[in-house]
Amino acid sequence: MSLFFGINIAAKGMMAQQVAMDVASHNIANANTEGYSRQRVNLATSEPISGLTSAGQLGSGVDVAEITRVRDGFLDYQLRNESSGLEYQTAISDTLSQVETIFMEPSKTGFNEELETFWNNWQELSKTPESSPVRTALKEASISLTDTLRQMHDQLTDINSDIQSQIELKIEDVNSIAERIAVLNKEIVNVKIAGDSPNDLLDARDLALDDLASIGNITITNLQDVNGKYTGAIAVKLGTITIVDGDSANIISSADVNSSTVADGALAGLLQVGGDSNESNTVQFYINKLDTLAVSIAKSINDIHTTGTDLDGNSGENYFVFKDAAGNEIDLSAVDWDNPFASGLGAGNIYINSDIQDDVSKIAASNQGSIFLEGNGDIALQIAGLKDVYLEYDAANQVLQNSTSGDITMGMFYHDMITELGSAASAAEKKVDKQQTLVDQTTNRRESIQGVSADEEMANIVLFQHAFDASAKIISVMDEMLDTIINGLKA
Amino acid sequence: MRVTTKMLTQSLINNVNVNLQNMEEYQNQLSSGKRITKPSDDPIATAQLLSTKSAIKAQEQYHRNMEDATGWLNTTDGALDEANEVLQRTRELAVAGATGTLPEESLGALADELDNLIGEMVQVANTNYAGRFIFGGGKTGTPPFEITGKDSDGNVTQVQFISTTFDESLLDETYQQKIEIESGVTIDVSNGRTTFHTDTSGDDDINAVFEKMIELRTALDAGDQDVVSSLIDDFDKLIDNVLSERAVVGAKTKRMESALERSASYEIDLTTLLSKLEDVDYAEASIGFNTQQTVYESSLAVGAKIIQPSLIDFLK
Repeated sequence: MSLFFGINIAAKGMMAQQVAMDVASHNIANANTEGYSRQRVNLATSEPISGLTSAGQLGSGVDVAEITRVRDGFLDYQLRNESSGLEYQTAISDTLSQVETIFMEPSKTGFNEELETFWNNWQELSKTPESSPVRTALKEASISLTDTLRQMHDQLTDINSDIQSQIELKIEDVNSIAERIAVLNKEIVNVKIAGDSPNDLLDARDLALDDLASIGNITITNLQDVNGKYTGAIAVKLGTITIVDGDSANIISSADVNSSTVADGALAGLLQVGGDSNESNTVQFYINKLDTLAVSIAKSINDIHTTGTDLDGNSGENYFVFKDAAGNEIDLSAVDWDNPFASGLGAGNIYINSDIQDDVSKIAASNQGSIFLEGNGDIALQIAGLKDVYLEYDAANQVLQNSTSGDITMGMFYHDMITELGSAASAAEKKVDKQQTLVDQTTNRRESIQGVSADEEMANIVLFQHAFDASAKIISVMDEMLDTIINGLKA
Repeated sequence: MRVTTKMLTQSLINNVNVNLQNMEEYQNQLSSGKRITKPSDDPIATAQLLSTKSAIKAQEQYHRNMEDATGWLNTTDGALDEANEVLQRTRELAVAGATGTLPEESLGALADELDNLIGEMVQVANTNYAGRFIFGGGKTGTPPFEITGKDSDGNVTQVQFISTTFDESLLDETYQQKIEIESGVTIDVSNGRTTFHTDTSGDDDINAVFEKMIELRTALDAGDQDVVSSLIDDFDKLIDNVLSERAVVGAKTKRMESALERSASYEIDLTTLLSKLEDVDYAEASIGFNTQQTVYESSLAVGAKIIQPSLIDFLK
C-alpha cells in the first residue's frame, strides 16, 4: 500500500467537489432562465480495492456518478393541461371584451340610445308632419341609426377576420416549435447513445412543449427503439394531429385545425370564438342578432311607410334599403322574408332610401290624400308605435315575425342580446381567473421542485468548499509524510 | 415545501398585480361615477339599465307630446273664448236691432259693426299654434277660412272653408289631430267643429256661423226688424255650441294636466331606479378604494423586505 494511493483519493475528492461546485455555479447562473430545472451531482464512492489490507476492502475515494436534473414529469403534464385551459378561456374572454367595446353599452352613445332617438323623431313627425326641420331631424336620426348598425357590423366582421389571422400566426408558431422539438429529439438521442444525460437539451424541449401546450392540447409519447428501449425522443400530437415524430416535424396549415381536431388551448379558443356555432361566446352570434334586428327594423317600417303618402301626394317608397356588394339596391319585393339573409340583407348594408335622403318631403307620414295630406301624421304615429309592438322570434330562421303571440319588441331583442353578451363575457372572465389561479398554483409547485434556491446553492458551495479544502489539506499532509520518508529517514 | 427566491418574487408580482387590478376597478368606478361601464360588470343590471333608459327616453317624448297637446288645447280655448265674445256682441247687436226704437241709420251703424265682427271671427277661425292652423284639420299650412265674396259696399258676403267643393262628409277626417301621450293612447286635440260647422239644430253645416252672421248683417242693412229679432234665438244656440265645445276642450286640458303630473312623477321614479342601478355608492367605493390601497401598499412593503436578503448577505 503506497502513500500515493492516499494522494490519489484526495485528488479525486478535489475533482468531485470541483464538479459539484461547477454544477452549483451553473444552477446559480441559470436561476432565472425560463424552463431551467436545477441540476444535482450524484456522487458515489468509487470501486473499493480488496486485498490491500487484512482488514478488508479499502475505499478508493469518490466518483461523479451522474449529473441529473430535478424535475417532476407529472407537474409538467398538469401545468400543460391547465395552461391549455387558460389560453382557451383567455382567447374567448379577450375577444368578447372587444365585442363589448363595440356595443358601448350602457352609455349615452350606444345603439340603444340611437334607436330610442329614432322612435322619438317619428313621434315628433306625427305631431308636425309638414315641418321640414322635423323631417330633416328624422332623416339625420335615420342616417345615424343605419351608420351605427353598419359600423357595428363592420367592426364585428373585422374582429372575426382578425381572429383568422391570429389562427394563422398560432399555426406558424406550432410549426416552428415542432421543428425545434424535432431537432432537439435528434440531439437528445445522440447524447443518450453516448451514455450521458442531456439535461439542458431536455429543459429546452420541455420549454418548447410548455409553449406548445398554451396553443393547443398536446399528447406526448416516448419513443422506443426496436428493442423496446426508450431512445429519449418523443412524438407529439397537437389535438389529434401528429406534429412531431422523432426527428421529423409535420408541417400543418390552418386547413388542418378545426374544433374536432384541436380541443383546447389558444387555438381552440380562437376557433370557438371565431367559429359559426352561433353560441353566445362566438362573434358570429352577435353579427347574426344584429342582422336580425336590422332586417326587422327595415321590414316593419317599410311595410307601414309604403302604405303612406308623402308631401307631394305620392305613395311612400321603402324607407330603408339594402345594398349589395356592388352598391346596387337589392330588390326587396323579391326577398323571402322567412330567410332574408339569403338575399344578402343584414346590418352591414342597411341604408336609408337615397330618394328620401335627398328629399325629406318623400317621407310618407300621412295616410290621407288630397287637401288634408300635409297635416296628417297617422303613418308616422303608426311607425312610432312599432317601438312597442311585440314580435315573435323565430330562432330557426333568426327572424322576428309579426305574431299575435309575440313576446319581444325590437328594443327588448337588443337588450337581450347585450345581456347575453354581458353574461358570456363575465363567465369567460371568471373562467380565466379560475384557470389563472390553477396555473399559478401549479407553476409554483413546479418551481418549488425544479427552481434554483440561491440559499441552498450557497450552503452547498460552502459545503463543497470545505470538502475541497479538506482534500487539499490531506494532500499537504501526505506530502509532509512523503518528506518524512524521503528526506527524514537517514541510513 | 421547498421555497425558492423565484417563487417569492413570482407570487409577489402576482399579488401586487391582483391588488392593482382591484384598485383600478374602484378607481374606475369613482372617477366615472358609474357602477356599470360594460355589460359584463353586471349582466342582469345591464338589462334593467337598458330598459329603464329606453323607458325614460320614451317617457320624455310622451311628456313633450303632452306639453304640445296642452299648448294646442290652450290656444284652442283662447280662440273659442274670443269666438264666444264675438258671438255675444253679435247677439247684443241683434237685440239692439230688434227693439224697433232705433232709427234706420242706426241699424246701418249696427250693420257696419257686425261687418267688422265677421272679419274678427274669420281671424279667430284662422288661429294658429306654432304656425299650424288649428281649425283646419289636416290642412295646417294655409288659413282654412277665407273671405271669398264682398258686395259693392265692401261688405262680406261669403266666407269659405277650405274650398268651394268641400264636402261635408270630409269633416270626420278633418277633425283628427292625434297625439300619443302614452304607449298606444292618443288624444285628439282637434276642435272647432261644433263652433264653426254646426248649425242651430245641431247638424253639420260647413259655413253655419258665417252664414248666420252675414244673414243678420243683411237684415240690419235692410232694416228688416222681424228677421233681426228672429235671429236672436239662433245666436243663442250658436253661443251654446261654442260653450259646449269649450267644456270639451277644458276637460281635455284637465286630462293633460293630470297626465303631465303623473308623467313627471313617473319620470322621477324611473330616474331614481336608473341611479340605483348604475350610480356608484361613493361611500362604499371610497372605503373599498382605501382598503385596497392599504392592501396594495402593504404588499409592496412586504415585498421589499422579502426579496432583499439571502444567505449571500450573511456569508463572509
